[in-house]
Amino acid sequence: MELTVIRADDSVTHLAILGNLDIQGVNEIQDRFVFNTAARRKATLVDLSQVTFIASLGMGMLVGVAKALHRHQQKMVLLRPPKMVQHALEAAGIQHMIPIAMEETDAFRMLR
Amino acid sequence: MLFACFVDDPPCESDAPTMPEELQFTIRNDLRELARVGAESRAFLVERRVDDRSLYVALLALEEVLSNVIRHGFADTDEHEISVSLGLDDGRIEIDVVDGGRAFDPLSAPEVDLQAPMEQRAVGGLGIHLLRTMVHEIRYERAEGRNRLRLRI
Repeated sequence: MELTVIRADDSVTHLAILGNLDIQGVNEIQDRFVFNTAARRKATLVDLSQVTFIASLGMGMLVGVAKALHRHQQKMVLLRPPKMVQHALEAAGIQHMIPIAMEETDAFRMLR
Repeated sequence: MLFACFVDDPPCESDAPTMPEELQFTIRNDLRELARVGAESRAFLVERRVDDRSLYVALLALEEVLSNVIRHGFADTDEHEISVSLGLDDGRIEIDVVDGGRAFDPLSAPEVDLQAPMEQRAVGGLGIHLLRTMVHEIRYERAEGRNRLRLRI
């Protein structure tokens, strides 16, 4: 499980998660994910294009950060999850809380 | 591989290797067991050429059910066993999980309100919702002090 910070400036946090967001994956990256997102209190774009699996704990990690950002009037957008990951996210209704975009330009527009 | 069977010979048995019909595990109530279950289950199902969606849902179901049993199923900190079987029946994946933990019927858990505003949405509670939404059939029974959960995907 990897987490890569692509951009972290005064206006936005853009990072990518790679691998399986199962229990083990969440344990590996949760602290770093929260530190690089919720703690920064910036609009946050999370690239999921290299996530191969997500279960409820991984979704909970995303929701927890989205809620924390929301409290500080900041948005989160999920970018380009693979087909089955997207299907699982939508089965859990995640898109009602955290928008899902398939193109980076759309994602940045949603963050404004 | 060439296979031949003659009428006058003793009954033929194919010497082609057959794949086991079912994968069985007995795991400890330890979250570290899930990696092994996931990897071996994936290999079992890929070898049997299940479609991508069924594969994903099966692995998701195993993760959700087993993590729930391990994290919440036992009132003590002792080591306990959980039995898991995985097989194919009539084109569907069947998963069977048996544990001796507290009685818990996941089908009785309250529904998650997916439309609740952000401030009111709980961080957790999605595991059972995902099972209900993505698994074709779920059956629970409690007998002789054991929970048995059967899933068909």
